Amino acid sequence: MTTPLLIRFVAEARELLQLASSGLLALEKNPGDEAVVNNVFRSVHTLKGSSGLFEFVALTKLVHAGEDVLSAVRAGQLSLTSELVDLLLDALDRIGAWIDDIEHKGRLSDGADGVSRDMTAALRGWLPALPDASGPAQEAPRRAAAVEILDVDWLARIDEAARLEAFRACAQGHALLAIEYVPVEDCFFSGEDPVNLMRQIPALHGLLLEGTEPWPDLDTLDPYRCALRLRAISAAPQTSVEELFRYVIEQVAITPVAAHQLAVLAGEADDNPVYEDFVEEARDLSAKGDWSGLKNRTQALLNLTGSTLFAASALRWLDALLDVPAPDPSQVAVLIAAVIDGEAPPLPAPASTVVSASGRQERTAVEAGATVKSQSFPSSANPASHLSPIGREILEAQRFILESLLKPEMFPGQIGSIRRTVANVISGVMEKADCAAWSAACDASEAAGTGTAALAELNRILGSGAEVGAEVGATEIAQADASATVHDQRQAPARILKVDQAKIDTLMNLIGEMVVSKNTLPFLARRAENVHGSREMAREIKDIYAVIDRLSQEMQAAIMAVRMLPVSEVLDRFPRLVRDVARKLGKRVELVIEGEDTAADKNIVEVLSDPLLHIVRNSLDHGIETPEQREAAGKNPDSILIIRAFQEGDQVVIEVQDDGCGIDPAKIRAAAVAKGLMDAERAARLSDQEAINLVFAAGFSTAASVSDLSGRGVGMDVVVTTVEKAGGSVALNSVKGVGTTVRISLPLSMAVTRVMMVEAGGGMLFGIPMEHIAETVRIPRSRVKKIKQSESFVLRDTIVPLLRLDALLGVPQPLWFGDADQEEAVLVVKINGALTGLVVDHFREGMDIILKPFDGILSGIGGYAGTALLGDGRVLLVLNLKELV
Amino acid sequence: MPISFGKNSIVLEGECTVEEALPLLEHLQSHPKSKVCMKGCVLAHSAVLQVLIAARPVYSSLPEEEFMRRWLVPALKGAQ
Amino acid sequence: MSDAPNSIQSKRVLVIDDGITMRLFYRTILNAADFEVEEATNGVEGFEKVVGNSYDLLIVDINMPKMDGYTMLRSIRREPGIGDVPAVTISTEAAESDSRKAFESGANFYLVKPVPPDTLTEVARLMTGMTK
Repeated sequence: MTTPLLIRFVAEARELLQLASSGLLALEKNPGDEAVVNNVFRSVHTLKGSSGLFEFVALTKLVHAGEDVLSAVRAGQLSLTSELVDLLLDALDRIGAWIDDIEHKGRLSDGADGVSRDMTAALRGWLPALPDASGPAQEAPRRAAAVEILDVDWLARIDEAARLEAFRACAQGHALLAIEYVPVEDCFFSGEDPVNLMRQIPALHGLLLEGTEPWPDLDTLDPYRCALRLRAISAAPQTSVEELFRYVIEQVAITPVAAHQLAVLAGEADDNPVYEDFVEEARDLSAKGDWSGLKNRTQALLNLTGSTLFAASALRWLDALLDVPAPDPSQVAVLIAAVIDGEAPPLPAPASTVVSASGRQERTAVEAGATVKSQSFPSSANPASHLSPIGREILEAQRFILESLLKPEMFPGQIGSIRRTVANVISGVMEKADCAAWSAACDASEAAGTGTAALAELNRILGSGAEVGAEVGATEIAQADASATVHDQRQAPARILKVDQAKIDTLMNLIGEMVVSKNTLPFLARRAENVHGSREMAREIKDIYAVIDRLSQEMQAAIMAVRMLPVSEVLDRFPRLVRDVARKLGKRVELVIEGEDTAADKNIVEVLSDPLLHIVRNSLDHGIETPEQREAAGKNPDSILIIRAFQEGDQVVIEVQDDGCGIDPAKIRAAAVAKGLMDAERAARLSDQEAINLVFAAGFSTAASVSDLSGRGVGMDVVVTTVEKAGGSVALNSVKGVGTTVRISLPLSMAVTRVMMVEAGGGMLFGIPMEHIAETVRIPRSRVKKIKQSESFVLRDTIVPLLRLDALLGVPQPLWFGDADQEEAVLVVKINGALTGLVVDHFREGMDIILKPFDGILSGIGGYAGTALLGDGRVLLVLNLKELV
Repeated sequence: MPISFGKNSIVLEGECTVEEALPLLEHLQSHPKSKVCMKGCVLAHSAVLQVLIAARPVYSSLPEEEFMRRWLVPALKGAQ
Repeated sequence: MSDAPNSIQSKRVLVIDDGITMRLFYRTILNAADFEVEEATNGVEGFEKVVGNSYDLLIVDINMPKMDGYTMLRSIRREPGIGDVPAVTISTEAAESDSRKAFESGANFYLVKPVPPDTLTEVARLMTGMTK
């Protein structure tokens, strides 16, 4: 127990834990009490915030998991069963015990990390599946990574030449980043090569390669246990660095570095009278602001000074500092003094953002700086160049607010607070004239009641700082966006027009209605001919119809193209996911993604997401074997998982193919019998493919234990249901010992459905989706075989069961007077891979329709996919054969 | 073979992969006085580098490839 | 409205956070940087303090009992005379990291926990115009 902060934390934590436990107990009795849920959540939330101040990672992680669970409870996504309450109480008890440890020992007990991991996993197991749940690895948010390392002392260990290079890059406006990467110990096994990942860092200006601990004796060294700590300086934008490290981002910390932090002087001390002369002259030149004169003198002395001397080091830094037209006088002063002193305090931050102490010296520097600046830059050509990165971020935030987030009811308060914030940030950094201009602009904005004038002035202040080069602006904005403290969401490339999806949907609906309306014209043509006897008129109408038909089809295609997204939208998450899951399971998987550019309608791409996730997880979980099993089976220990997307006709097809153990039909048969889905005799009669297809049956799972990875008790049946709802189909091919391929086909677009119209029930019209129709046949009544209650007929040597649509729909059947020559109109449809004959009254034409699903009270009616409006105003009922047959 | 072992020398050439780390370590364990020649090495897997950093052998030559020369040599020489 | 920052007088910061540890943390950091620190434990108390006093900066936690940080800030921004006080919200990464929501509620800047002490100090100094 050391700091007052820790003492306070222990006391507060106990109180919060007590509040949370009693709240939980109350909730168990009365789960609906929102106020109590909120209180419990807030207690845990506050505890998490406080614990984050200390290095009790195991504790914070567990509290965090508890918070997430409670957050889900609060949002109504999770109900608080007594089982869950038990788990939460256990977690609170565990945390309480740790708090005791902290009080007595100042640290957590040994093994806390393991306990925390297990309990965290147990809690997270309750969470509803996140759309992007890649496990606890995600727990460390990327943003937090940037603030983790405050300690950049190691910068000094990078060789001086590299630091000077970095310093100069920074002076040219490139923001610098310090990157620290501590790979996990077993990273070599998952194919990581940390050093050569560092090699790819763009704009690398320094690299340190060290052990995380002292190296052991060579005899005990484990060559495949990574014990490296890698650190680097880069002048690249943070986003591109994060992109490079995206698979190991939780092992990487990135933090901005200010140029002056690089200037750590080193060398041998010596004493040379020439230094005194130099220092005197240099101070004189510095006071006059004659930077180029000073630079000349510096370089001259540098040539005369041995490069290993401390003075030389100081001169090199001085030379680099003088590269910019207006160097920071306080920094210049420190370096000049260092030449003669043979030692140097850390270089101060630029005068405007001084954080460190040593007051007297700096204050003088600021005053000198102000004089000099007004002499050499009377018109403040570069007003914002002295802003610190955080200062700039604060101004960017104000700009963001002015641009789009002003609220009329709060306008005076908002503009006033922006006025004060900007004035404070720029005071002392910018010319009086700039401050006055800002004040005037705010006056104008306040008078006008809009942010326009203030925004223009703020743009000038920020914009002129970016004059150093367009690239600088981009870097800085990228950095501001991605850095630890603030981020605004303005990353959309300028040339892309963002349109509300609802507007596109409206267009889509309109063109849909138009396609349907144009179908009126053939009716009209027929009427012109039949009723009014004008054949010519009929032909003209048909001509016009052809034109409108073509135009509307083109228009429809154009609008659909707007909605088309590449499937990479959903595939992009898989590399990370496969890697994480495979690692968790101790499997070695190489993921190959093909055809990610294949495009499909937005809705379809979105529909794909969850089933695909499930299939991939199934493959990783049950399909792919561990490296040992694979080796034992004579396979390459690295398995290959291929996700392949391509277009086939008007379908988009996604295949997930693994070279794992495949599905054993015998096991499936046994499981089906064990689960009581069928008796042994019937199971034995199933073909292998039929047996394999059983995995699609509801509630069927062959996994010996349901792991937390492939979803809790949700089987392939959900995949099938989801895909079929969107008008697609799923097929599964598997060869025992060789691998499994799951194939999802979906229509490229959900918007237009092609149906065939049939008549049944004595003149009623029904639509049947074309994709189900194999063929239409007419068969004489005499060929219909009747076995008990069921009918069938022979179609090219295959017995096809025959169903009557009338009967299925419960509409009265026409009487049959026994005329054996009378023909039946039979629609042969393919459902779940099997052919079925459907007897209808008459076949009618095919038609493109816009399918509207039932809503309201009708939505509960099974057997119908929805309705569509016909050209003549009638409503067509479209059947869902899967539910019907 | 990117690594060849002589009586008192180890020569790393071309691209040394993760598989080389174990034989390299074993050789250094049994022949601690071996001199390491890295002149022709252009890429070495982290595991290989880790063995070298931990073993701190005597180098008869250092890598000439730009990245390795610039950034990895100090670590190999144990200068950091 | 004080455009010209006064760097001689020490600056007053109001910390509004329901967590006692967090309040102590902010107080310790900010006192060390010569700020005068006052505390409020929820949005209602924070609002009342702002109405009765003049602060140079508000440091606002989001999730608090009685009145959350967003609501408090909106109420302050609507209040004539005191509505212009600069404010920073501090949120936890997962739940409330939406900068947009903070800005829409009247915040001028926002930080994400855990906030490094140096960052907090620098932001407070910049936003209050305290040069040293």
